[in-house]
Amino acid sequence: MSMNFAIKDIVHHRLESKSILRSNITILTLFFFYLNIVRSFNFLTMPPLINFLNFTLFELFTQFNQFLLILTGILAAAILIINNHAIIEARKKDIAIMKAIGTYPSHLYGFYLSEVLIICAISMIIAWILAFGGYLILYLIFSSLIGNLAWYPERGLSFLFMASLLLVIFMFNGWEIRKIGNLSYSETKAGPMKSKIHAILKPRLRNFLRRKSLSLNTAIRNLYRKKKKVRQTLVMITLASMILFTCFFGIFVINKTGSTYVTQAQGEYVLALGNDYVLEAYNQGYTTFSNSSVDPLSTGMFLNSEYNITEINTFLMETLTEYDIQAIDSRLFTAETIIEQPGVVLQALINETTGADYQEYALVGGEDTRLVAMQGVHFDEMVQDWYYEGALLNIQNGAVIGDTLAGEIYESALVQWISYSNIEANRTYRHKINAIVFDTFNRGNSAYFLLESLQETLGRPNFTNLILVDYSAIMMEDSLFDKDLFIETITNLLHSKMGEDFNVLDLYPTFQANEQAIFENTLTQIILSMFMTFIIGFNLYQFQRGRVNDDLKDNSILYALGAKEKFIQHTIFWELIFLISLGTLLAFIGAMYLIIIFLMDNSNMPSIWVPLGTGAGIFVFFSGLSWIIARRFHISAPNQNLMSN
Amino acid sequence: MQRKHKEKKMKPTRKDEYDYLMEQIPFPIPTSPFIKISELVKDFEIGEYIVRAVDNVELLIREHEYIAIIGESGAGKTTLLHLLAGLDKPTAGAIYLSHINIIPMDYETLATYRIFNVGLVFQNYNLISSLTAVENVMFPMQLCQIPLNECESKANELLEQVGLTARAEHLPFQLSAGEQQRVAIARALALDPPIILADEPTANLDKKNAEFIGELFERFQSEGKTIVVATHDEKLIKHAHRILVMAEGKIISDKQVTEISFRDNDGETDGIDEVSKSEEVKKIDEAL
Ligand SMILES: Nc1ncnc2c1ncn2[C@@H]1O[C@H](COP(=O)(O)OP(=O)(O)OP(=O)(O)O)[C@@H](O)[C@H]1O
Ligand SMILES: [Mg+2]
Repeated sequence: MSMNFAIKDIVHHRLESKSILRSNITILTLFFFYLNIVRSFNFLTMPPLINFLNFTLFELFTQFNQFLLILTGILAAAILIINNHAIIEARKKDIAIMKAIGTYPSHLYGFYLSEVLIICAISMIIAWILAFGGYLILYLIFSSLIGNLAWYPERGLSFLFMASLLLVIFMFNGWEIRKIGNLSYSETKAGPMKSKIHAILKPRLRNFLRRKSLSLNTAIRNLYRKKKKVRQTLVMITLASMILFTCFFGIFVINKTGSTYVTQAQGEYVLALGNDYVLEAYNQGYTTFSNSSVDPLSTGMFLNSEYNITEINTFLMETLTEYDIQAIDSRLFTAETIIEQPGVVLQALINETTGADYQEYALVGGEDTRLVAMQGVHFDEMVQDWYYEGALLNIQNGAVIGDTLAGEIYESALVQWISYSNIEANRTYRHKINAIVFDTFNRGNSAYFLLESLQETLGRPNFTNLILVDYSAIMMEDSLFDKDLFIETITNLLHSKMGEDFNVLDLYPTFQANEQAIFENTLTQIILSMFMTFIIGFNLYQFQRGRVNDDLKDNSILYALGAKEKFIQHTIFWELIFLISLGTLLAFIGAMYLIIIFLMDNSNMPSIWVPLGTGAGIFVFFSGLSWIIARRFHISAPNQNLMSN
Repeated sequence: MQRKHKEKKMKPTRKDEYDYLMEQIPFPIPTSPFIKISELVKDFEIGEYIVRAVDNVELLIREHEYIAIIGESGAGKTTLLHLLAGLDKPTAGAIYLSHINIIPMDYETLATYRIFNVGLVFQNYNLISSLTAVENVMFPMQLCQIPLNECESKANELLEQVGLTARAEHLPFQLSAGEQQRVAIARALALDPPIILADEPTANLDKKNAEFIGELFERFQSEGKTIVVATHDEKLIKHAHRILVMAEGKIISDKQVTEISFRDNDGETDGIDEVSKSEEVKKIDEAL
């Protein structure tokens, strides 16, 4: 019987049911779709092996997407709860009447809870199908056009989400029906207002309103007295703008952070000098960052004594001083397999029986191995301006490792060690890890040692096979600087002193390609965000129209008393604008707070105008929507609305 | 020091708009007949089923007339009043107000028509749910850009007349049915409209209050208003000049009250004995 009643009731209120279904479905679809897509772009969880970008950037992208996904989930849940609550709220009077004619409370639950749950379940099923279909289509498009999207559909999480949401809605609305069931008949007359509301306006507000237009007056009185509705709408608008804000502001942050990383980890205008064999490998190391089809470095003959470039140093310095460049970055570059070595940490523990706290040394980390790019450098002369954790010092026995290496195989890198073998001498060396750098080289699988130390352990005293020259300063300062001539000069020097197979490689194009990779990822995010904006806008639009429909009778009375359509439209617009101003402001504060806490850890803040501009953009977007909603209000069949009770 | 004053562009008020509308009418407005309803039909379609709420009504209403419409429930009284107020479009027919047909007017113009001509009291009161009693009464005046102070004093005066000063700051749902009804009456009178259309304005009132409303209406009539009331209440009927009886959407009787002789004590409602029937009505009666 209750099922029967519920379905009849849904059909009877079909206009309302339809708009609620539409709103439920769009937001759930967005959530499920986003879930699938983010998984496929591999941006929901860290992959077991990074084959693109590097660990830190990946982490940033992942955090950003997780954060968005959580927000979208909350918004979806909030919308479903509010929508279903609206059903119960609208049936307040019916519930009171039912109670008055002697319906058992258990029947009331049966009637209205099944109604709510039916609507919910239908929305979820349709939304899931739509989301899956959308994902399938997107997958087909992507894999035929670009070919780099993994088929990685969502299996468990969406069902878990649906089940828990159904449970929440069941409990929440059950509680609400119980509350309504306890109301006296007269209290149900209050509708969306508090039954004990004291309607007199505060003198300050009253004075403020005296000078304002009638439509603004009406709008504010409406809001002031229908507080419950205002709260719900505010929750919606705040969450929605928070998501949009996070989306767009997050994109700025990620893009900025990404390009800053690349610049810091690579240097913009850098020349690499060395034997062609070494140069090729070195360039490959940087290319892996932006091109997932390029293999990471493998072991090679880098230590061949023919590749030694050390003797050029003095001649090179002479030439470079003419160009006002004071320092060069000589390196020993090779690729070797390293072994992770455990370290010890001091743990604070509490004795369970006595309650006394004590400390204990614990071993962390295992003995994983990985082939990495190894470089002997002078940390104070490097062309990079590292973003790092720990200390970058020229210590004989210290090592600095790249973030992917640290993140993927180390447990707590800064207390651990790194070891490698000199196969020729059949000896193994180990170094304490002093710092982790955010490296773009070889996708962050890199290790740096003090040059002399590495020369010694590898049995290559005085051996360097790579020189990096940073010419950014002249690029910036001297507008007449002829880059090609500069490169030619150095090449000639190399050819004359070292031979024809020693050359100069400009790393700038690789740098640009890496920056482009960051930009392309940002673009994907922007497209996703646009999609989100569209859905959220649509949803908010539906929701607000529903609210306007709730007030249809009052608006018809305004019309019956002689108010023009324009006037009613203005009233609606004022109401919405007020809610939107407050909502976007709250969202701005909330999102900034959360972004700073969650995303800012390893990221760079753009200028204050970016968040402000984003906030303003969202406000304008929502205001535009409100304007459309208000303008679309038309008087039709006023008589019918006036006849209803 | 002299400051140039910018010529402030005045927004046209509703009154200006109305005057403008009236200027468009090419002939002088005669005072009588004031309202003419001709061949008015209103159908409600509910799927296949059609309810003819108003069936071919012909009616002339003179200025300053006080008309009571009686008839059993579902006879079409409310529908007719709403049509007169321009709240609904008839299926066929015309309503002339001083020779102007209001039926083809669009919703905007109708709003303007209503605000300057019609005070409406609904059967279900229809107070704006989020405005207090006094704000409800003030609202039509505010729509006409009457200064706020004037609106307030006029609204309070009206509320005092209907005996609701104490409840001025209460919301509609906090008022009893009778109180809401009285607020609705006060609101209908707010702009001093020449026509008052009232739908069962005393349905929820006690004898004393109903009597009072009856007297109020009579007074308004003597001040020159045209009043159409749908009612069963003899306290209102007894002041009427003319009594229409509706049944199934038709006006089945139209009696002019020349002499009033109610027999209050025996409770008989149809105490209108000495009435003189107009020619047309006589014909209708014969036909029945
Ligand atoms: N919106 C509507 N849709 C369908 N039928 C309607 C509608 N409004 C009124 N009716 C029908 O029109 C007829 C006349 O209704 P109306 O409200 O005018 O009667 P009434 O004379 O005012 O009755 P009462 O004295 O009970 O108020 C009724 O049969 C009613 O069912
Ligand atoms: Mg009626």
